[in-house]
Amino acid sequence: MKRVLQLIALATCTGLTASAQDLAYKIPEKAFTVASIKSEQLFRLTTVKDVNNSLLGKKLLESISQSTKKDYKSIDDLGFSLSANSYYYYQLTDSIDYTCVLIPIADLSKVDALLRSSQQPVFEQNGINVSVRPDAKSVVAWNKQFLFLTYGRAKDNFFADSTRAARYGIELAGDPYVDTVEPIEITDSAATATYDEPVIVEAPSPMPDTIPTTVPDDAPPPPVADFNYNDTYNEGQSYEERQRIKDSVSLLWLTNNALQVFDKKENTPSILNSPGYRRTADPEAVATFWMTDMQSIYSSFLPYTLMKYGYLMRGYGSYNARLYLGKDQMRLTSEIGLDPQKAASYRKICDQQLNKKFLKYVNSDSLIGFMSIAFNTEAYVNEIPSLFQGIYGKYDEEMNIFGEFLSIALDEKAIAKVVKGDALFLLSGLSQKQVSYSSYNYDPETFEYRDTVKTRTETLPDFLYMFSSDDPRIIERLLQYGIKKEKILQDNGVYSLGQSGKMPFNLHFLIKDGIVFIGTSIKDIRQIQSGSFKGNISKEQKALLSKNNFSLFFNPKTLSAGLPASELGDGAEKMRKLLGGAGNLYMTSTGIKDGYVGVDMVADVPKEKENALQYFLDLIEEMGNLK
Amino acid sequence: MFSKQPLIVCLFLLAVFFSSCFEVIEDVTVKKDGSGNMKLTLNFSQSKTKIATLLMMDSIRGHKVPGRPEIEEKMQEAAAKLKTMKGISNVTQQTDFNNYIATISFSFRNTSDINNLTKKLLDEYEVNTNIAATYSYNQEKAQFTRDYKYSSEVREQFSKMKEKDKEVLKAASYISIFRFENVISSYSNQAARLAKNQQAVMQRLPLYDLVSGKADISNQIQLSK
Repeated sequence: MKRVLQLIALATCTGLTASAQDLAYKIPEKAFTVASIKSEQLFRLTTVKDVNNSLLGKKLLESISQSTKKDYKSIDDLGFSLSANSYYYYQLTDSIDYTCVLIPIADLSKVDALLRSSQQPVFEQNGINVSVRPDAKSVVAWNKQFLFLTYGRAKDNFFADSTRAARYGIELAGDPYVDTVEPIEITDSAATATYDEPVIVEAPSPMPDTIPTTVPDDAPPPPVADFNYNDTYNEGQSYEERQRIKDSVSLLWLTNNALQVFDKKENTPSILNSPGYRRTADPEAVATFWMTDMQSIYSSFLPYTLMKYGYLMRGYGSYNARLYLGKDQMRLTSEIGLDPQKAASYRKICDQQLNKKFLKYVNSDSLIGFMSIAFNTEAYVNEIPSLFQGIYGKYDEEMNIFGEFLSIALDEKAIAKVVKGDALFLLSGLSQKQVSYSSYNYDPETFEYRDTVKTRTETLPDFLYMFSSDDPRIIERLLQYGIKKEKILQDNGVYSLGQSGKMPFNLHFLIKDGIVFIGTSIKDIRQIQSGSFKGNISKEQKALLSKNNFSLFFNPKTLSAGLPASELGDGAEKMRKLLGGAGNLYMTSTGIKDGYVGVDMVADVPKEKENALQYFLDLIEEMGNLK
Repeated sequence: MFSKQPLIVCLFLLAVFFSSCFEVIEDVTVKKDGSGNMKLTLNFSQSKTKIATLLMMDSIRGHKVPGRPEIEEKMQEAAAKLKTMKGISNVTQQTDFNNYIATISFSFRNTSDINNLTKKLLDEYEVNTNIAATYSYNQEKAQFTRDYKYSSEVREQFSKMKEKDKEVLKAASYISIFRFENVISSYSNQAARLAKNQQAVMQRLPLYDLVSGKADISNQIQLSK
């Protein structure tokens, strides 16, 4: 696995010259997850020299030099292409899960020098070099164009069936590790219809008789495959022996898988047939990630016996994420597909805008962060039955009735009047507050001690939370109840809840203009009450808040400026430097587009940094210094 | 030493995660016949803002943050264990969640009961260490002794602590008070102070000095007959 990680890291900074063909067509149509790294985009933002000198680059070269016992000084000495796309994918089958990496090659001689330095033998077939590595449970294969690394281990469940196990020369009797496992006939299950029998579509067949048809006759056998498939019964077979057989079978499957990838031609069924995957194919993205539809993931992690309950993610399609590194921004866009019914429900729920009056209370200059949401409560309550529909499998009927019942029982219009569904949380600043605590006074006469209350100064966050309510009567009643119970005080229209062991600050409540305000600063609440509050919202923040159903903003610089050194301990200066040098962070919902709903995360690149990649590399270096 | 004592770990973690202050008070009264009372207090009140915040979280730095019911349960468990021990009676425990103060007190028939109790508790939590502090009272000589040895296990645990966590111990205080019916005629530890009525001795030090081995808390107290 370490090797896989090393190669994935390598793939991020891989040869300068080659314009290799894109390798996406080599990825099976039924892959579970696919990640890609677009080296060409990366090297528009940095140079080989800069990568070599970065903390990440140094660590990578050091680890490769160590494992190959050679001295690598630059990533372009490794021979991989620094201009073509590299891929990682994961493929599930009933017998083995493959973890695979595809890296385009720029200079075969350099790659040969790198990979042949290992002690493992390399055999060659039709221009393909194959190195089987039993210790790492992996197979590395390469030709002039690309390198393919695959890693995996045969699943114990696959051999839990005694007839099948016997076919591979494995005897199950008395095996404490296998007998206890209930056989799982995944391929027979209708519930796994979300992925076809993987052994048929893309993966090599686990049946031994298919292996010779794909492994060339004159290819030397993998080094540890020294068992006889026909030997169906071995007296006294030990656990270790059975594991050894499984490992050997795994290596055969991995080798077979590798050779099939090299054989695979363009225009054969591949991941490129998946419309969801094709959404990630944005040439501007530096890296992409794609995961097959959520229902498949959810049901594949659910034990077979619970499968009948497992449709919780029904209606959600595939997930994808794309990373963009620009001059001024680093952006990560992630989205998930929705079926038409879910999309229609979400569209209704998202049909709400943030109350424009909220914007008057934002002071961008001193703001540390905010979070806003705007959803339509009435639509949400209305949509409950359809959101429930289909997700409980066997109990679907009952859940539908429950959903309908809930929708009848709840008066959605009345609920929506109390809580409309839009809210804004402002982390407005940090302030010093006097906090009391218990200590003891010792009588010098006897050293008897008595409880005493002392105070100390602490820096605490100030926040202001507001939500719209057309009918705040129930909220007022709750506050009145608090007064009755002597937990809440009322003074001139403002309700206050004092600090306690559970809550380190005072909370003040105000209801005004159809908005319920909850805040820590009495000064702010009083100013809001009298109409003298002076907000000062920036254009960017105004746009963020008014255009999105969800938004989040964080300004590390304001936080850094407000933090007192005394409360951060020794690491204060480093932390302050890290926060002070960081750009703003935003998160917004993308709304529903083409049946996808998603979130955009943006980090502003500070002016003094050349671009997002340089900023990212520097951040990693600074975080390393924090330890 | 700390890793297998859930209650101490829970409380210690709370203090450690931010540079917080807390006090540990050991208050022992020894009567003429060697029987007496002991009260242990753990006061986290100075750090209550941070603790209140911490208790809202499920885990921090990979350690699970114990909830109020969990802390209460551990305290009750500790009290229940004490009640079963030989020579120990009148066990009471109290946890004040408004100020984050935990106290446990009990009566003992003889100072050796405390040593026995400590040993049993350490065994219970599978802590293999020589008892760091032992108490003895010689009725004939009217002499009370607290022996304290800085054990190699504590030294080892201390050296493994992160600098950030050691900082916390610098801000925490350890207070030890011994009270007697008779007047104290002399005491060996010069870092301790004598009460004006000459019937009590108090020693106050940063917990850091105790754990790092810098301070000595052993004391031989001679009482007038």
